[in-house]
Amino acid sequence: MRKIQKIFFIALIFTILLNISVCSSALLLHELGHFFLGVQAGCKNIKLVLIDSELGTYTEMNCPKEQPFYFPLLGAFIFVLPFLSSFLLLKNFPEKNLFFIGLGFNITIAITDFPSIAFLQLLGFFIGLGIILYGEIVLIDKLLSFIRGVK
Amino acid sequence: MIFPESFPIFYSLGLIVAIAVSIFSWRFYIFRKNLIKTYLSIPSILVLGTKGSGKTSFIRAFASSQVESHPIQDGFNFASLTLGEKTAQLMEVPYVYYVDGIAQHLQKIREMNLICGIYLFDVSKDSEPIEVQIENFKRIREFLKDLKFLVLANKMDIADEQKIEKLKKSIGEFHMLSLANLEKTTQLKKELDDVMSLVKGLSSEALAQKNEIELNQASKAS
Repeated sequence: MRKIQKIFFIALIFTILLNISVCSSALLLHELGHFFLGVQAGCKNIKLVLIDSELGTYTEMNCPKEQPFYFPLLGAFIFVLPFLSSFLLLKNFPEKNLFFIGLGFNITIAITDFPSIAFLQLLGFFIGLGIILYGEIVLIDKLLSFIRGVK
Repeated sequence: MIFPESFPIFYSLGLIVAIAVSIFSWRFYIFRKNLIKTYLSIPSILVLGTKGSGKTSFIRAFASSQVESHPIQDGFNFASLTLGEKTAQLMEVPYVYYVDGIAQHLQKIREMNLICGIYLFDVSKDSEPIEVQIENFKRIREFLKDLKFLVLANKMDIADEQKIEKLKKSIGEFHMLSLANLEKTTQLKKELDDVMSLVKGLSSEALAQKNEIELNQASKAS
């Protein structure tokens, strides 16, 4: 197999695995964020569902009316940030850019928690997608150069 | 509401993977294009010769880096060579590529930044008939008309006198070499230095010519 083909397959598999692991971790932390902040806010009947019969992921709860509704919602978004920020510590490694992919993904899943505000959903989706695209481009470029240097 | 409240996990991950693969294909295409451009622009010295003539050993003996398989060209080995302040690459061209279908296999070579070629003849008793080797050399020289060649007769330690005579008659001037003994005697170490200075002389001459042509082209353009 040619060296260029080796670089292709290694980088492709690595990119897919990194994307899946970071995004599924972000999704899990997002739901855990709902759960913990719901408990903090005194919400009752909290139900965290990772995969239901329709393969959906969500957290249900009944919160007291005096609590602002966005507390457990925005809280879930913020809950993921420390995990994503840890990638920024990988200064000279291509994986540092997983921060942007995770952040973009976190924004796109967080906006689905605000179903009543359609404009915000659309805006958030495009902002998230833009950050994901930026992260993917930088990650892949750096990963290819890195693997080329190592091989 | 634009998006559903509960979005299936596999859809989200599937979407991310689809984005990643699409961007990967695009970026890899650019990466490959740039890589080919880089390798084609490096000054290259072709190392050619019959099967078992010592092409890889030659590169190993002269190169300033390890011999690696070429990332773009299938079956090609290469290593870098320092020529004064500049760096060139020694490229081993597999024998099968120029036995048949030269034009088909070696078309890419013409796109390279070639500075000279080194042709190794195997003059040992068990080698391929010298007539066949001479024929192949002539075909290669015909194919790469503008390229200067340094002709070396390798395996002089086990040489067949008749083959050397035939080679002298057909090719004319060539240099003798015994790569197998290069490390063993100090006398043969001198041989390595001699060949090296020949390569450097040939390369720097070709490099100077190339620079001159480039300068002329640049001045014409301006």
